[in-house]
Amino acid sequence: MSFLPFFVITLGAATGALLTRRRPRVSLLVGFIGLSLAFVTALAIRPGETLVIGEGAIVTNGYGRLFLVLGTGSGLLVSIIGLATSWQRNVPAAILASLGWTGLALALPDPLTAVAATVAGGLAGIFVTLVAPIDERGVEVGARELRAVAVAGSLALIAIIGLGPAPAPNSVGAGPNAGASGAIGLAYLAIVVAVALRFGVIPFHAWAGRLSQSAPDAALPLLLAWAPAGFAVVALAGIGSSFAGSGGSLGLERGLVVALGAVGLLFGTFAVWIQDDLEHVVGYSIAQDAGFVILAFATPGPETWQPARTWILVFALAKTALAAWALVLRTTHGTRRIDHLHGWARRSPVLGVAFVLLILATIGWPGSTSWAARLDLVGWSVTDPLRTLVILAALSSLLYYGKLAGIGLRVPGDEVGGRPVARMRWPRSLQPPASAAERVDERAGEEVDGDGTTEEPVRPARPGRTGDRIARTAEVVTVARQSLARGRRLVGQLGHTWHVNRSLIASLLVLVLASAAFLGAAGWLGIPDAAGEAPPAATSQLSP
Amino acid sequence: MNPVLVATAVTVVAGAIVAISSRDARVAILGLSLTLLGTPLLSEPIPAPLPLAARIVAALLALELLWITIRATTSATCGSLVGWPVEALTAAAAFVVGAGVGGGLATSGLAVGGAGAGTTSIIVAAACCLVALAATPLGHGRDVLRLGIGATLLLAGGTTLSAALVGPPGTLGQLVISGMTVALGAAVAALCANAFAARGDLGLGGGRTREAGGRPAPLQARPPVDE
Repeated sequence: MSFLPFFVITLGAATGALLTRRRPRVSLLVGFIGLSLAFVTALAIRPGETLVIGEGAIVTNGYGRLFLVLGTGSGLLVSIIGLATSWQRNVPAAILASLGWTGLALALPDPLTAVAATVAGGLAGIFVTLVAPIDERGVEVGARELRAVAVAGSLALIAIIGLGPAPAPNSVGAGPNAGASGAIGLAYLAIVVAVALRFGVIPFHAWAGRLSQSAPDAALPLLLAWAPAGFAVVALAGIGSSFAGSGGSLGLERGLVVALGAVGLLFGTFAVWIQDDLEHVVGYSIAQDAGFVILAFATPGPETWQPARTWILVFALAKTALAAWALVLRTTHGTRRIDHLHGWARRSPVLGVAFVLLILATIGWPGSTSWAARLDLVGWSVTDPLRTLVILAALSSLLYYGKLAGIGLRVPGDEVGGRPVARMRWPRSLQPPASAAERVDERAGEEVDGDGTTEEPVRPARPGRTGDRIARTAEVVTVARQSLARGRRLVGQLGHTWHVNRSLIASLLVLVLASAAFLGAAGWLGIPDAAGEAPPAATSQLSP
Repeated sequence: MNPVLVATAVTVVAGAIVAISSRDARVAILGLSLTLLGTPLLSEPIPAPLPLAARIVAALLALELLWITIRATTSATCGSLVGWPVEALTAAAAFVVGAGVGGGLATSGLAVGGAGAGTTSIIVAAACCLVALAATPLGHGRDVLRLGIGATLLLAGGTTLSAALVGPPGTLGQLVISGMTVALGAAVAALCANAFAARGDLGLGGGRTREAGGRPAPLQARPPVDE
């Protein structure tokens, strides 16, 4: 069972990183090694495997694998960006724990058990809201996160029970709850509210706004995108089969869901537009585009299954890139206020390119996967003229992206802080080979490296047999010492390179993230194929 | 009707009332322990020994994490906003409603858990009590421990309800619920520890915790920030 190594590594490394948090270096090492191993083991997951435990089963699938590969990969990059900018030690541990539980949830055919797993994964996010130095606001945000995760999880549990078991493939009628359309309608609304609550979709945005203000920037993708995305996928799977037989009789409830999604899309743009700091822009932008996820619940079924799951992955990737972009922009220019960032794109062209890519990934272009997914979700939910209105509301996010781009292209003002690095700077010993004259000059003096160590010359061997052995041993020891010194010097040089180029490295990693989101939006990461897989078979305890 | 099941349901509900009413965090944790240890038994049939052991160990671990935190910080909490009699009456009302709903669902065939009408009604009643009791601390919790207890009761109510209406979880389901319980305990314990580090008590916002006698708890010295 290829999923088990991933699960064991994620939870083991998360526990290890949290237990060693009083030793930051050890915790950092455990977290990064864990994330790297999790990425590798996620790649090694083989779809279609089944592990039976008691009456239940863990069934791996292509979508879950892709979710975990992209989640751990982007989590690793965001953690490195966090390390280069404003580090919070619990971030890798929380990412690991959350993705471990989410991965399990995506592999569980039983929706109730899967919801319990997503709750466990969501609770891991609380550890990153408690940032140092600890203050009352951080605790309050953590408490709100706890409340949101618990309430959403309980709502989903009760809603899935209320929806009842899926009709058996060979049964004549619907499931046992087919006659109770009122209860099904309430359950349907409850599960949509649960998803909206987890994403912070307007009007459930209050806690998400405070979260984006107080939580570490590097944790925002996990808290507002990846963990809720896993929850939404599980909720879609849980609701889909049960809803298929009774969807026609729930016109009012469907109307409410469409209204919730459309209001989220429209007012989300307004909410972002009036913000004057980057963190709120990220938070409300995530809440706005989550409106499409809500629209996916308006017609849960086979036709919206693929676009919904495609959009969820593209959304999580693009919003991760957006959060990372905001984090690097803030630390590079030393301000989070948007009106103090005049000319940011001119001074940080790498971030400018990344910004363009993430806009393209989020909104898409005609023919792209993300564009098609968004249009499909709107098209299956509403008909004209409402359809046009919702599409315009969705495209209104171009307004605030355009505003940010316009500010970035202005002439840099005095307010812009920091001094962005335009090109890579290397320590002297890592610089390209110097000219012959320079080398002679260097040999003239004693070679002292960045960490202050001096290379020892190899001593000549003594004559005689015993003397030969001693001489050879001494030579080996000397060579070993020199190698050790070179290794230490290299580590020191790399550390120095990292230190002086942190800003540029972080910008390049943002570019990598934005490129991944762009490729995902273009359909080149295999997202549409994975998202189009059939829903998990109803082998759950819900089956009669 | 199984008398042991009824006794378990009453114990679980009584523990929940104690957990959300007491101003002494230690007593509240004691009440919560009755609830967490009792909920796995609220199913028909009772889980197999191994999954049951996993649930009990997970509950004990979560409670231990809370206990350690409270022992190292403070035992003063806000307690119930409305007092234990009101909480008990709320629980009684929810119990009656839950029993009626559960019985109705079972007799009409909408509950597919496989248990009889009496058993289903008792388990649904206990689950409704837990959900009803969780509402106040979750909605107006003025300290993190009460909020955490509310979240725990809510999730315990949800899992109990699913056990009543669609049958007890299988081995894998029990293991996942065990993991969720431990994660919940760890999260609440972390919140309590950080709240105490930030302000010297477990309060949230304007909430001020009180000692068992009803007097406002004296603010304790702020420990050095752990960073």
